[in-house]
Amino acid sequence: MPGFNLLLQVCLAYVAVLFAVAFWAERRARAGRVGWLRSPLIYTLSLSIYCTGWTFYGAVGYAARSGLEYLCIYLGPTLVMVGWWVLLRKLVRVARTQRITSVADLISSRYGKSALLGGLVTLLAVVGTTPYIALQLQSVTLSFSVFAGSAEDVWPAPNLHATAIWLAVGMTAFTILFGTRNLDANERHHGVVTAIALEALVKLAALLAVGVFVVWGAGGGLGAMAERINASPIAAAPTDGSRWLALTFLSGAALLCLPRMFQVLVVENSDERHLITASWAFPLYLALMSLFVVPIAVVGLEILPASANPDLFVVTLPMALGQDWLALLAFLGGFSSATSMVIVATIALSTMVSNHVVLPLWLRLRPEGATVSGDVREVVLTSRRLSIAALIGLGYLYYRFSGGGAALAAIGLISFVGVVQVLPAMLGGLFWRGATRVGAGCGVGLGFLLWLYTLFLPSFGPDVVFSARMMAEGPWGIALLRPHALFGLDALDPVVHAVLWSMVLNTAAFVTGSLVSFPTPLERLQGAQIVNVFDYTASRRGWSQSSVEAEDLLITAQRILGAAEAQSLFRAEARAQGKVGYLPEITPDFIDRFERRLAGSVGAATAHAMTGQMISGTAVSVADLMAVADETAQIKEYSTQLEQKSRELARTARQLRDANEKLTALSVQKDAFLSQISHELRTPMTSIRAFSEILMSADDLSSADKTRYSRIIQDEAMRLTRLLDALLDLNVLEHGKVTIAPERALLRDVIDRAVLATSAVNAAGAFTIDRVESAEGVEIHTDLDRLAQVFINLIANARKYCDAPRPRLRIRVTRLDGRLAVDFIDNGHGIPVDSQALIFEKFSRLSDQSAAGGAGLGLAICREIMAKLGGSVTYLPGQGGAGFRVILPDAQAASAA
Amino acid sequence: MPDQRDKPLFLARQGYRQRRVIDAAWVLPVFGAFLLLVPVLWDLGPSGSDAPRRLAERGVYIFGVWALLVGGAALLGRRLRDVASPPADEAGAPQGDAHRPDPAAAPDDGPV
Amino acid sequence: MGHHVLLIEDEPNIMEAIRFFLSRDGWRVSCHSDGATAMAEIGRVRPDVVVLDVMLPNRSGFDVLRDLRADPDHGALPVLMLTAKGQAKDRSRAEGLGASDFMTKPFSNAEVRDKLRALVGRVD
Repeated sequence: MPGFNLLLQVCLAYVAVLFAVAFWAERRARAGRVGWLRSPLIYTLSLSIYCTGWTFYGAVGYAARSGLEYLCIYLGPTLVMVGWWVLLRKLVRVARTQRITSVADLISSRYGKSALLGGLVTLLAVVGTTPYIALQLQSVTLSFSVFAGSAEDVWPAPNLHATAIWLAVGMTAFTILFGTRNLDANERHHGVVTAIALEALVKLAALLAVGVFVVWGAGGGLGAMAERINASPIAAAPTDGSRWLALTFLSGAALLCLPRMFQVLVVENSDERHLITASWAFPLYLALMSLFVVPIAVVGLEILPASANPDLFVVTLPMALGQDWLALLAFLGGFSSATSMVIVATIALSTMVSNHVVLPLWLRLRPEGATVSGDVREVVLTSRRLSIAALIGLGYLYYRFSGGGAALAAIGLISFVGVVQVLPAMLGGLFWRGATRVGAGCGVGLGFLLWLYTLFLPSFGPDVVFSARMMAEGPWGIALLRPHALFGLDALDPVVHAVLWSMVLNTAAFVTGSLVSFPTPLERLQGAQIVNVFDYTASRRGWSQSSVEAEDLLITAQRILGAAEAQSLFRAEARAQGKVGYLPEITPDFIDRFERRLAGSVGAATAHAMTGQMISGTAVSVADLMAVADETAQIKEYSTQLEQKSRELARTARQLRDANEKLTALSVQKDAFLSQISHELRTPMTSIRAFSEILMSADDLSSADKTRYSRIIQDEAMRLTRLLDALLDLNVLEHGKVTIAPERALLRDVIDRAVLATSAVNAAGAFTIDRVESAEGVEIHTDLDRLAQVFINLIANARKYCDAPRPRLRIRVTRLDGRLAVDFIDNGHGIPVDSQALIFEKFSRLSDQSAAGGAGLGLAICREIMAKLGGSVTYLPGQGGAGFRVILPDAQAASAA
Repeated sequence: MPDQRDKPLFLARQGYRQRRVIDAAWVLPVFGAFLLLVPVLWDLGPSGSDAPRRLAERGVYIFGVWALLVGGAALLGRRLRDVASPPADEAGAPQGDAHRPDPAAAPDDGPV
Repeated sequence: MGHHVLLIEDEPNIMEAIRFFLSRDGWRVSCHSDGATAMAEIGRVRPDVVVLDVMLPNRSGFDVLRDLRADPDHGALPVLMLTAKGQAKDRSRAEGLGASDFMTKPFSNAEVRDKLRALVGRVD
C-alpha cells in the first residue's frame, strides 16, 4: 500500500513536472518558437478539461447507479463537435474578429457592449461554477482519503481538510503564475494549455490502464465481460427517456456555455482549422474516456463490499485487486482532471470578473476617467489575481460548508443547468439579427432565477434554504409553485424539470423581449457584424469626429497594454500611414482597431467605455448610420441630441447617395449612348464593306447585280451621312448656340410645307391627311425652318409607322390657355405606355423593322428644337393612335385671321 | 462541342461537390443526434420494467454510432479543409448567399 | 453537298450580303430576320451552324441564344454571334451564354467564311 508520504511525494513530483512544463512552454512561446504548442493536437487535448474529476471518478459511480445514462454527458458534446460547421465555426470566427475574452464578453459585445449584461452573465457563471470547483476539491480529497484509510500511517480526519487547503493554495499559485502573465486575455496561455494537454494524456492513460486491467485482467476478456455486464444489477435499471434527452441536450449546450470550455474552445483557439481536427479527435477522446466505465462499475459492484462508494471505484478497485501502482496512476488521473478544470475555470472566471465587474465599477468610481493617472494595467492584473484566489477560496468554503454530502454527479448537473441559461442569448445573438439587449437580459435573468428556485437552492437539502414544508407544499401553500413541480409537473426528475422550465421560459422571455424592444444603434451594428460574420471583412467603425490627440491614446494604451506593446501598436499604425514616429493620424479606423485591442485586455464593454471617455465625438458615424439607414426614422427614439445629429448626418448621407446615383446614371447613359452610336455607324458600314468586297472579288456578277449592290452601297453611305447630320444637328442643338431666325407666317403655310416635303416617304402606301384648314389660318412668329423640321419629322413618322390598314393622320390646331397647340394623331396602334417616356430619348427607336432606316434621333431633335424655340413637343396619350402635341412659343403667337 | 463550354461545366462540378460536402457537414450532427437518441425509446412502454437488459449490446450500439460519427467527421473534415477559409484574410462565405462588404468602408475616410 | 447555315439578322442589306457570299461558296443559307421565326423553323431547316445578330427586334440575340442552348435537339449547334456595338461586355456575355465564336461588325467576308468553316469542321 502506498503510504501517505509516498502519495504526497508523487503528488508533489507531478505538480513540479506540471510547473516545469508550463514554464518551458511559456519560454518557448516567448522566444517565438510556438511550433507544435499551437498544433491541433494540443488544442484537442486542451478541450479535455471537459472531463473533470466528476467525470473521472463520478462516471463510474453514475454508471453503477443508472446504467448507460452517464454516456449522455459525452454524447451531447460529441454532437456539437461533429456539427462544428454549423455552430462552432461561427462562434470561433466571431470571437476572433471581435477579440472576445469570455462568454460574458461575447454576450456583452453582441448586445451593444452592454456592461450590465456582462455583469449578469458573470454573476451566473460564478454562482454556477463555484460548486463545481468545490466538487473538484472534494473529489481529490476523497481519493486522498482512500489511501489514508488503507494506509498503516495514522492520518486523522482534519488532515483531509488540510489537504484540501493545500490543494487550493497550490492551484491558486499555478493559476496566478501562468494564467495572469499576459494582460491580453485574448493571447494564448501557452504554459497553461500545454500543462493541461499533458494532464489530458495522464487522465486518459490512467482510465484506459484501469479499464484494460479490469476487462482483460480481472474480467476475463471481452466475451466474459459482456456476460458479466448483462448479469449485473446495473442492467436492471431501465433507461429514462426524458433524462436521456435532457442530459444530452444539457451537456451539448454546456460545451458551448461553460466558461472554461469557452476559454479553451474559443478564446485559446489560435487557428480555425484546428476545429477540423478537434471535430473528430475530441469525440474520439470522449469515447475512449467512457469506454471502460461500465466494466469498471460492474466489476466494482461484484468485487467490492456493498458499502464501498462507487464514485471511487477507479481507485479502490485496482487497490482491492492488489495493483497499488495502478491505483496510484488512477489517483494521478483524477488529480489531473480536477486540477486542470479548476485552473482553466478560474482563469476564465477571473477574466470575466475583472472585465465585467471590477473594471466597470472602477471606471465609474473614478470621475476623472481612464485618461488621468492610475495604472489600469495594474488594476486589471491585481483584480484578476484576487479573483482567482477568491474563486478558489469560495469553492473551498462551499466544499467545507456543504459537507460534501451530495453525490458528485448531482452537483455537476446542477452546475450545467445554471451555465446553460446563457444558451438562448448566445445562439440568438449569433444567428438572429433581431435579438436585443432587453431580450437577452430578460432571458438570462429569468433563466437564472428559475434555476436558483427549481434546482440550485433546493440542492442544499431540506431546511437549509427552503424548508421541507415549502418544498412539499409550495411557498405559502401554493402547490403550483412547488420548486420541484412547477405548475403541476410533479412526475419529472428534478433536473429534467429544471431544464424544461428554465429553458422554455428563458427562450420565451428572450424572444418576447427582443420582439417588443428596440435595439440601440451600436447593438444593431454589433448584431449585423456578428450574425453576418462571414460576409464582413473589414470592421465598420464605431467612432468618428475624434477630437482626441494621438498622445492621449498612447498614454492610455501604455497603461493597459504595457509600454512596449502599446508603442509597437502605434508605431506600426504610423508606419502604415507613411509617418515616422509613434503618433499616427487618428482615423476612425485606427480608433476602432485601438478599441478592439483594448477589448482583448479588458473586455468589449469596458474598452468601449474607455474609448468613449477619451473621444468626445458622436458615438455613431455616418457609415454606421448608413448601415442602419433603412430604419432611420426609428433612430429618433434616442436622445434629442443624437436625434438631431443623426438627422443631419442622414441628410448628408442621402445627398451623397443621390449625387452618387446621378453620377452613376450619367455614366451609364454615356456608355449606352456610345454603344448606340457604335451600332448605328457600324451597321451601314457593314453592308458597305461586305458589298464592296463582293464587288471587288467577283468577276462573274451580272450587271444587274452589280448595279443593285452599288445602289445598296450608295444607300447605306447616304444613311451614314444622314446619321452624322442628325448627330451634328442634335449636338448643335444641345450644346452649341443655335441661331434662331424668327419670321412671320401663317401656320397653314408651314404645315403645307411639311406635308409636301413628306409626300415621298412611303409613297407607295395610301395615306390620308385630315386637316381643318380654317383653324390653321393663324399667324405665327418663330423660326419657320425649324418648326417645319419638327412637323416633317412627325408627319414622316406617321407615314412610316402607322400600321392601320387605311392609315390616316389628323392634324388639329387648338388654343390652350392662350397658346397654340398643333396635334398630330394617327390611327395606328400608338405607343405602349411604358415606352412613351422613352421615345424622345436619343436612339430610342422602338424595336420595329421598318424603323431600320432611321437612327432614332428624330424625336430627340424635335424636342431640342421646340425647347430652343420656347415651345414643347409631348406625347399625347389616349387618342386611339400615336398622338403628338406641339405647343408653339407663347409670345410669338398672334391672331391674324 | 467547343472547349469554352466544357470549362464552366467543370468548375460548376467542383463547386457543386463542395456545396454537397457542406450539406453533409450540416446533416452529420442531425443524423448522429437521431441515432444517439434511440435509447430514449429503449424502455418505453409498460412491459418488462425489471427484466434484465442486454446492457453490453446496448453499449456496443452506442459506441458503434460514436465510431461512425468520429469517422464521418474525420472524412468530412478533410474535404472541408479547403472550403473553410483561413481566418485572417477575406471572409469568403462559401454558402453562396454572401453579399460583399461595403466597399465604401475603405480605411481613412476621415471624420465626416 | 454544302453545309447549311441558319442566318438570323434583321438588317436586310447585311442579310443579303452574307447570303450572297456564302451561297456562292456552296453553302446553303436560310435567312430569318427575328429569333422567333428562326427558332420555329430550326427543326425543319436542320442547320449545321447558326449566325446570330445581337441586336434583333423583340427578343435580342442573347435571348435567342439562351433559348437555343436550352433546346434539347439543337442545344449543341455551333453559334457565331455578330454585334455592331463593339463592346467587350457583349463579347463576355455571349461567351457566358455559350456562343461558340464572336465577331464585331463590320467584318471581312473571308473572315466570316473561315470562322464558319472552323465551327462546322469541329462538329464533323
